[in-house]
Amino acid sequence: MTPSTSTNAKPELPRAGDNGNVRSRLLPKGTIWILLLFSTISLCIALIGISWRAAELARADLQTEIREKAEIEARVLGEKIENAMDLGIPLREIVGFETVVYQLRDGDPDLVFAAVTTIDEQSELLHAGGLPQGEIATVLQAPMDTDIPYIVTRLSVPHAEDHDDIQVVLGHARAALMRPVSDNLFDIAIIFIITLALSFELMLLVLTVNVALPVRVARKVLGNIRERKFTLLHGQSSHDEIGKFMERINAMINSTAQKVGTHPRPEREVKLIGVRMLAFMFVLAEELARPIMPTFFSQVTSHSLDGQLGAGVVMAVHLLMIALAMPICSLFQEQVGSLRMYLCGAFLATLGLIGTAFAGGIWDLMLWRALSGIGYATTFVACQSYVLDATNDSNRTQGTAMMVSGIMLADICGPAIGGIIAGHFGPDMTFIAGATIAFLAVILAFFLMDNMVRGVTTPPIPTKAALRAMLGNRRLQVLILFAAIPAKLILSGFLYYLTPFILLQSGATTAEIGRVIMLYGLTAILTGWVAAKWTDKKQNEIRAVGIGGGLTAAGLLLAGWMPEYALFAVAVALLGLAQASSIPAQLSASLKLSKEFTKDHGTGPVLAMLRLAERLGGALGPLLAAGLTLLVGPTQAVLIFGAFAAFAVLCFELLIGHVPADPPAERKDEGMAE
Amino acid sequence: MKLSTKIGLALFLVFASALSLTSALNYLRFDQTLQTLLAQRMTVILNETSQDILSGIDLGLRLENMENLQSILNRRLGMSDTIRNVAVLDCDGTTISNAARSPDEQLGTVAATSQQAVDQWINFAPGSATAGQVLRDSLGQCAGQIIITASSAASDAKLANAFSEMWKSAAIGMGMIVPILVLLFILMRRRHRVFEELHEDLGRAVAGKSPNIHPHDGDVLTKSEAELIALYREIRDQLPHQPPKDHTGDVSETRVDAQK
Repeated sequence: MTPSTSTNAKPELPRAGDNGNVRSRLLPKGTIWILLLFSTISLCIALIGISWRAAELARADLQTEIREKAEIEARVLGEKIENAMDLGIPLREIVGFETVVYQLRDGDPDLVFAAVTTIDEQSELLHAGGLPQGEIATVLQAPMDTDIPYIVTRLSVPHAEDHDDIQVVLGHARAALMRPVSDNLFDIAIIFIITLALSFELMLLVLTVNVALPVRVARKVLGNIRERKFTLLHGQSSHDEIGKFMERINAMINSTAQKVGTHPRPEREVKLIGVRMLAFMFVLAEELARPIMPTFFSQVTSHSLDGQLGAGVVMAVHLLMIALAMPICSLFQEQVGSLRMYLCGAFLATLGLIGTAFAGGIWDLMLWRALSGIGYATTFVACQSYVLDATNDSNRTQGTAMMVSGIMLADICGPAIGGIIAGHFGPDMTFIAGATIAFLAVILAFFLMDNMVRGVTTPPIPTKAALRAMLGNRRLQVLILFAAIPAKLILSGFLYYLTPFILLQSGATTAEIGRVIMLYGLTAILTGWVAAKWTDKKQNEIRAVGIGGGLTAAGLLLAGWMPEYALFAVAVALLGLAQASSIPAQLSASLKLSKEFTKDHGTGPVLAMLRLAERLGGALGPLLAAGLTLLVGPTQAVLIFGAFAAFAVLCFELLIGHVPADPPAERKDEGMAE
Repeated sequence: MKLSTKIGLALFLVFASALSLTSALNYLRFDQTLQTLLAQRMTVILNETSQDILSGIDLGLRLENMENLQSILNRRLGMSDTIRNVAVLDCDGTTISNAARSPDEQLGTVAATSQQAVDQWINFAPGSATAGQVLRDSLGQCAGQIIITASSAASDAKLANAFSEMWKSAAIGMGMIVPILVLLFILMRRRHRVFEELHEDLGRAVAGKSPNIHPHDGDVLTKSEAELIALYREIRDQLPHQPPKDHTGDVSETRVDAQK
């Protein structure tokens, strides 16, 4: 290739996708979207097909089962009528038929009505229950082939000599035939959404590793050629078309570099995308059992403590271990390395989850949950450090966002899948499923994490005086006390403890609880980007934190005031929106409020302080929720949490603008001298 | 492994997991519904039998002294073909009266009432289901227990049928992957053509020839690839393209010029 300064020779050739036609403007560049769209539609058709087949099977097979059940019920009714007549009560004067129907209904919710009629042309209705007589008469007079919403079963009762023969008629809801399918519709929809999300993750991984990364490096190399430097070679391993094309470019660069006397070096980028998958897996392993944790822990600890308090204590121990293990792990990360740290963490999490599944009392449960907490914290620090070490100032936010989106996706998928697993296989199997995922993460980490990624610069160590100055920052104190701690306290207390507990008490299934908890992650992931964009645009993080607090308070007060399934779903979604707008803003606000400190000592200590405070708040949440549940009941506990959220946001709004700003920090050299 | 194989494998995994999860879910729900229906049938019979017996106990009769006990049990046994055995036992688990379809189906040993955690229970085992209820007198003291055994052979057969049907449907659903793989093959071939053209153009560039027209540049997979090619074209457009005399000499001469 021969670069030239001449621009006269520039040909007027059409450029791909640059034709200015409508197609290129409306449709995304590249053809992968065609494949993904076609796959999504095909998957949708396949899932509908399977569910339709299941519906057909249910219709055919369950009808005979329901008829058999109806015959037994009809015989029971017939027997009762015979008994009454044996006692000399005339058929028409039997009373209490309706009560008997309601008794039968208690054991069979599909039973809609029952009636006793004569067997003749008039088919006179003698007794009826479940539905008004007129309505039952209409159903009974309908021709056999009419499409009515009931499965009608008739049983003749042969009779004593001087009485007419009668028949007992029972009507069961036809919808019962579709119950196996209709009950599954939500679950199938969840599976569809989750599959799409997972396929997105998988395709993202494949395309990033095989296309995006080689292309990014190739663009750097070509950009280097455009600047006539010839100092970069394409070093990203890729054996497909891009790799072969760049091999030829490399050969040309080498020969040109030889002639001009430069020494090109191979350029490659770290496979950062792998950490997204690993973050997704370690959070998924923990989140699977989220909908069943309070009840399962209550059951296991009920012998030693009041069950509710026991569950709160166990959850608090787990969160406390996370809070304590995170800063400790951060200290050793440099020496251990991200890969080894992740492997240790995922292994500990595996042990903890297996142990939890088989725990028999409060002490061993606390031990296993503590182990899980240490595992969670270790893997989290490993992933975070990996991202920080593998990125620079220009792409650090994107790298962090990549990891966070993996975590949020696990927040969506985990509770929903876990709810389904728990509903069918029980809580112990749900924890074992989590352990299996954690173990899979151990294996995957070998392929997805680059062991060569290590931090190169040691963060500056702040002096005691500087730390004192940071802790004395009044505005930072307000942010931590009235925004950061309440946010995590409410998240763990309300979402992880009270929501599953109250919903289970109100009769919701574990799958339904999983769906409600899933709303948190779903709302957060859908609105997080918009909220972050709005915050960046307005450059008003304090306002975003306040809005987040207000939304949390509104949701909780609403759920506490009217504790219904739908309103809990709204409150959880509001919490997701609140956390999406508040948490990133808290991070930026803490750095802005400590600008003087961070100038000299970096952002590390401020972030560590914020994280530790948050996690301690998180550990306090379940304890507080359990205590309040014991004292005033779960619904009132939600109301108190709501009032606390309102109080915290009011204090935050009132104080943040009225306390003195960050005091000028001691200069680094002064600190060093001290 | 080729990129097309990796994408194909990823799509296959996604399809297989989604279809198997949905099939398993439908199967499990079907199983749950069948069990519920059988349990409801047994509960109706259990409730009616216990009501009949409790009315005798309320009159002060002991189970051993109830003359019509056997006829009550026989009548309940006749209510459904699935019911194989109805038995009344005392609180220690000793049979007082038993109605069975065949002598083989007589009730065996049953746990004493004190060992039962709840007053009413139902257990499912392969081929059969057992439901029981503790009878309590008006003072709440144990007066005996009723055990009903039902055959779940019919339900099991339906379940086995549902199992094979569900997996058959899943296998047919997996057939949907074929057109996707065909589409993937076509798209990857088109992408391959783009890079073939680039290779050819690279050859022309080395030879100092003018760039070839590139009508297929839009066939790449992703936007980033399109941008890469656009960058290449931009560089390529800046290269001089005169008829080559001596390739190597020409290239190195121009390159050195460029460095200067």
